[in-house]
Amino acid sequence: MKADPTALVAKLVVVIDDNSLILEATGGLLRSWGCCVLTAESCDDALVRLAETEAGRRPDLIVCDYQLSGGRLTGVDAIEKLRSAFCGASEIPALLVSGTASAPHCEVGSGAYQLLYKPVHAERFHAALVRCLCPATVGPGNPTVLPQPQQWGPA
Amino acid sequence: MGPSLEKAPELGFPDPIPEISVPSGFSRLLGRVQRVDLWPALTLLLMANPQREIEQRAKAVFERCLALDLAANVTDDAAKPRAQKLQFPPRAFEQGQ
Repeated sequence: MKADPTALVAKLVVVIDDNSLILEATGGLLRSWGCCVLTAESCDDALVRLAETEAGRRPDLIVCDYQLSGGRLTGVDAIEKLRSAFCGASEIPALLVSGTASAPHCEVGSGAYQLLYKPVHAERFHAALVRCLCPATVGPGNPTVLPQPQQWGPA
Repeated sequence: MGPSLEKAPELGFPDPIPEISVPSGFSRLLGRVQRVDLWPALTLLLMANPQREIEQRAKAVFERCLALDLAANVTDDAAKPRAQKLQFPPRAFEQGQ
């Protein structure tokens, strides 16, 4: 269920994924919610595009896939690198999307991000984005790490 | 104006929607409401629906793409050598055997 349909309007969201189809689909959905979207296949690409098209504007939110191509950098590294490019911007909220349970959780501290497991439903995605932007809504009944829709491996 | 536009009067706006006259039997039931102006409601509907439709389509595309990506990830992981042993730690039942 959507908390606030206008919470994402005009927010600059950087989406990083090595799959161009995912980039287009995620970008399209975010744009339909009123976001300004910048898509990139890598962190370096995102930084270049931010400088070119947004005049180095600080992103309001980072959405990143955990498994990036090549296996050299994970989504966690990409988030950290993008945050470090903006001085004192470690508080840029980030959402890590993972298809495996091996993605590390990091709920607190400067390197914190929210974790969302695939398959991702649009409503859950929207709720996670709103939660990233409005951390005050996170509470005992509203955990930072969202529950997996299905369990991988032994319980 | 180009000739093609001159010959296409059907491209213009349609005639205004005629007033809806309510039969006398119903007018008693409806009280004073005897005329319904549909234009503002229709305009709002036409303006709201495309945006909603775009969002619904974007949601469907997004969910399908991510489901396909997940399937690809699972396939890739399973294809890795000794993937099962690396993925799942041994459970008590297996250790006892």
